[in-house]
Amino acid sequence: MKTHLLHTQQLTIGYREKRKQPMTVHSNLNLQLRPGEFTCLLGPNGSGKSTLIKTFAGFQKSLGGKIYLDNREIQHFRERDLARLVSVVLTDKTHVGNMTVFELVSMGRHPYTGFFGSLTDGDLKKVYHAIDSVGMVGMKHRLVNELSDGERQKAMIAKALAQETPIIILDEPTAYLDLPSRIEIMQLLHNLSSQMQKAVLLSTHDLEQALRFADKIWLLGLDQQVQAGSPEDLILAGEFKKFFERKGIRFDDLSGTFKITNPRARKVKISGKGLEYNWLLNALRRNGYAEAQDSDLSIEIRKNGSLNYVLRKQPGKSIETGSIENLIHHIKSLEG
Amino acid sequence: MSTHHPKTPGKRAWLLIFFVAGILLMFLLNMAFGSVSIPFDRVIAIMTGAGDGHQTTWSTILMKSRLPQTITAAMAGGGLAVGGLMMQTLFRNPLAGPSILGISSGASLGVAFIMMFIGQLHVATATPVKLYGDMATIAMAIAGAVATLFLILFFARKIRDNAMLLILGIMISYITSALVDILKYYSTSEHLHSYAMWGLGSFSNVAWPQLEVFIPVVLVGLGLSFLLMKPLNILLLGEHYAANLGLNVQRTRFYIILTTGILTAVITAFCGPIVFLGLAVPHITKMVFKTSNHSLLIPGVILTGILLALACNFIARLPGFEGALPINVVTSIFGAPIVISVILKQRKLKLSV
Repeated sequence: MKTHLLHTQQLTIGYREKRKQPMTVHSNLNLQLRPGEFTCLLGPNGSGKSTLIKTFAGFQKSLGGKIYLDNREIQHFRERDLARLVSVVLTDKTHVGNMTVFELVSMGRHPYTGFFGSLTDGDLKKVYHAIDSVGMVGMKHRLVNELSDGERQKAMIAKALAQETPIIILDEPTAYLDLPSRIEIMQLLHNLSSQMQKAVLLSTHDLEQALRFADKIWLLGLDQQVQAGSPEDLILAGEFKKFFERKGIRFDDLSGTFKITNPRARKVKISGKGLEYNWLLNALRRNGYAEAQDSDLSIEIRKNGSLNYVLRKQPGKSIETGSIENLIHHIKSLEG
Repeated sequence: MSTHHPKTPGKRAWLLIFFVAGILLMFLLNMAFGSVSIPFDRVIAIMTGAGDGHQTTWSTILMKSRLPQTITAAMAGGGLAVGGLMMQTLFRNPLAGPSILGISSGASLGVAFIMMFIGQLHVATATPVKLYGDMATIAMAIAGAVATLFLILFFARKIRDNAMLLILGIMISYITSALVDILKYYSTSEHLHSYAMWGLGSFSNVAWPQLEVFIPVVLVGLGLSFLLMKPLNILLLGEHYAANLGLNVQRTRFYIILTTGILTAVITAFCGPIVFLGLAVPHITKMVFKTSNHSLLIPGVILTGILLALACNFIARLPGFEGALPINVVTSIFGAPIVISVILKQRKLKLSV
């Protein structure tokens, strides 16, 4: 097994502007992409995710250090050779009239085609295979303009597959997608990377899906050294807390999700269990209440025949209601 | 649920036959009609050299006037259309045309200089100067256009962003137009009139000696456009994707601008600033051929451009209109409704690049 397809040594990324000091976004980066690994790049806005991706794709120059692709420095590649090693899926929306999915995916073959760009039988076979790999065989004659956002991203991934590069880099490919499409794309990329032994690097804001599907996570922070590792190791080392927690937002190491914390939350005692308990807690949190073992305010979930929520504020009488909506309404009027 | 029916190769072959037949028909009409109508059989007889020598007037009209004019119209139509297509793809802008980078304004500036110069020499002459067909005019127009082209190519090497380059081209157009206005201010009304006539465009003032320059240069431009087929296709995905597919975007842009520049410069120099064709023809072709593939679009726009230019030239020379309708008037008045009707028929299809 090859150790890595891409690795960096003391890499510095950032922007160079005319007659100005170069603006460094990150320095001293030592990162690796390995075949068969799906790597997710996480970090808040402005942490340099796009800069890193553009630098890897060759769209902008690094400010220092070295990037090795297949053990050769990136600047020593000719354009056409680089195109056979790294493919990209970008946030740029491509508005092309009259272009079918098939034609779009065929574009991926251009680093291999001749002067006039005509496709050989071998090229066509690879295009069909790429379309099949993302499950779009039935849509190959659809116009790209008429696809949904998720379908368009899948077509773009197929283009990257047709390009037959060992490295695929994707810049926030799930940004505009609904949740099922997001999961579908992430699953697809994970499977492609392991089945085809490709090194896939993807930037995203979707921490939950990254934790679920990524083999490796790179955490990019503002003014922090980059952390890389498996998602599990990073959580256990407390890195997610360090990178994402801010006032009022807590990262729950147990579930791998964010929780909203409100130090001024009103305490409420809850008795009951099950699904109702779970969603009651959700509604209470949203309205600024936190569960406590002891409080003058209490809610009991009573399930004998019909479902009832019993609200008590001592001393005083109890209010019974059948829906969480009404319960919240009663709490609010009770508390003034 | 909308479904797309891509044109099959068979349907496209029929389209090709339709276009070639249309062009042949338009060619014949262009030859036969004018101030003097010549029967079709005589046209064919004279063209094929089977003329019996009796109708020398007809053969003079055909060979000395109508044939060069028809060839000029066809070549200008094809050249401007392919220039427009390349600009629309390069700038990913449906409003781009071959003159968008100020190259035809550069030609106008050259002609305005000539007008001023002649004006200074012949202050006494009251007769309007005929700018068309004059070799000095053509030379100055080419000089103006090529100077602008070099300026744009210089900027193209400096500036990476396409939108910026487009704005620069438009700015250059403004500057050249302003310079033309200054020259106009110092010109006599007779010369202003002949400059205005030049600005309306014409296919009728390119005689055989000029065609010896015009035809090869346009053919070179058309040939270069065929060589740019693959890069143009890749550019459809946008600059980043194009670069990732191994395309040297800067160099490609240079060649695209150079090719369009050559075509626009020579056509404007010989025919005046022809408007509309370069902008509209690519849209018509895209709607008819239903493709974004330049290996079909380039021959497609050339054929459509030839057909439309011949049709416009035919209308301009219909008996009764003779001389009254300059070519730019015809292209706009008769061409624009065609485009509007095509758009209305295919409301779903967006104007796209």
